Amino acid sequence: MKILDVERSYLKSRVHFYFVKTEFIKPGGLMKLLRKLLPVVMVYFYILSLGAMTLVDGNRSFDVQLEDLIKFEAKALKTRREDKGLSDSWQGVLLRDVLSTLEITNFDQLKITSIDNYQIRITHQEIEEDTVIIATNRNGKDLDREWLRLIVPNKRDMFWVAGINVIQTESFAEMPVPNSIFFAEDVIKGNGLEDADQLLFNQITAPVFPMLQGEFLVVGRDGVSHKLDYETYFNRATLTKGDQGYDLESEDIPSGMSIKNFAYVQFFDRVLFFRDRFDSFSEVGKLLKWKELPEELNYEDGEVVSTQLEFENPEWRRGGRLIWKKQ
Amino acid sequence: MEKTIVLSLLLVLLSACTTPSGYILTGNVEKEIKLTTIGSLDEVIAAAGVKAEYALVVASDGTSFFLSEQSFPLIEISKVQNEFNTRSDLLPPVCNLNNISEIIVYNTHYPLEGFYTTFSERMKGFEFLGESSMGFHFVRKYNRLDE
Repeated sequence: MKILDVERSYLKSRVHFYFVKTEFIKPGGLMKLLRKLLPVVMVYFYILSLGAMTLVDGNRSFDVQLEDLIKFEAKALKTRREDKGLSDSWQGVLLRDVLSTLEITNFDQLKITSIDNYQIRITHQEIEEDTVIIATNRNGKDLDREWLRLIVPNKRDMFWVAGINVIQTESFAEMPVPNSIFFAEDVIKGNGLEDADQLLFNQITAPVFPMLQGEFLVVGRDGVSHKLDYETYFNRATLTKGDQGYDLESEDIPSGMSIKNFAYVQFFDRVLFFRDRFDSFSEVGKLLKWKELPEELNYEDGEVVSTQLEFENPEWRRGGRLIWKKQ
Repeated sequence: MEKTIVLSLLLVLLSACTTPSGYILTGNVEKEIKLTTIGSLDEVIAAAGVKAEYALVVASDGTSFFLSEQSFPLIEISKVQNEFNTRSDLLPPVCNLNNISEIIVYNTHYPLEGFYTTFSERMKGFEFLGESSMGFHFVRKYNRLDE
């Protein structure tokens, strides 16, 4: 804020100087004036852009500055993270106040992306029911303008995005009910990778998915899920054997978003998951919140497997694509 | 003699104009197949002796839609005058294309080159525009990027 004021007055004084000296009416004076002012103007707009977050609602887009936020009624709250033993006092503005002022009301969820590409989604209901704030101050200390932080008190701190860059409204993009289903264990075995401690994510996705572009849903066994653009986040991702299975990590996935005990990936209506992370097909459905389950699935050769059978049954281990036929 | 040559050339030109230009089947297939077949998409693909789990149907202006095999029977390819069109009452309107020029197909059993197949390489030339659905059937709309 202070920097901005200094910059504004500096700019004013430069303009005044040139007008007083009437240099701009001399031959070539206008060009000279513009040339001299250009760096100042560039610095001015650079400073303005720092800390700006963009709210995107369909075709509408709003740049929101710290100066805009502090005009809202301040909201203070305290959080305690038991696992880390951290208590914090936050001050900021209610996200729902900002949204309603901008008349952003018709959406199902918000996708929030940080300046380092960290990405989370929170639902409209969570924003209305929880005290979700854009924090400008932590424990009495102002946050740097580019590191304003989203605080969602009733959700784990992995949702507390620091350095908010873009807030974008979304409708619930309902994932298609799976049509083709593959087991990751079969793909790994088919490629002779059973003994590898680390795999490239591409090694299990490329043989299964028609393309490695667009948004893929990835889900951990504990239900943590992200829907992320493949080329941005997964092209360099790896699966590393951990205590409980494979961990999905990448240089391009901020560390808070890596998935421990990776279980499931879906693009469009095609699904690949680790069978051994679940007891039965209904457990997969429960994790993914499918509204219905088929009674049976078909192998490509027409053989049928009942979804009532637990995954330890050899019927599930024939390999190849399973098809969920819809009525 | 000259008259005969001119007449022959005119006939050749005329026949080129009246013969349906057709459309091609490409992607995860051994070689490009030229088609003038009409019927449901599953029948058209089967008649070409090809197995496909997904298809990207491309119009001559680059507008395209991507759908999976379970939706193939719901797409009808018809011929109107000299053009082949797709129509469906049971799928989102993006499936109604005029003057289709190409159907690019994917199947799992096609060999990978690195992490890509011919289909996935071709998809890099298309921009995703959005997804829509009717019942269980989902369709993704794409647009061909300028080459």
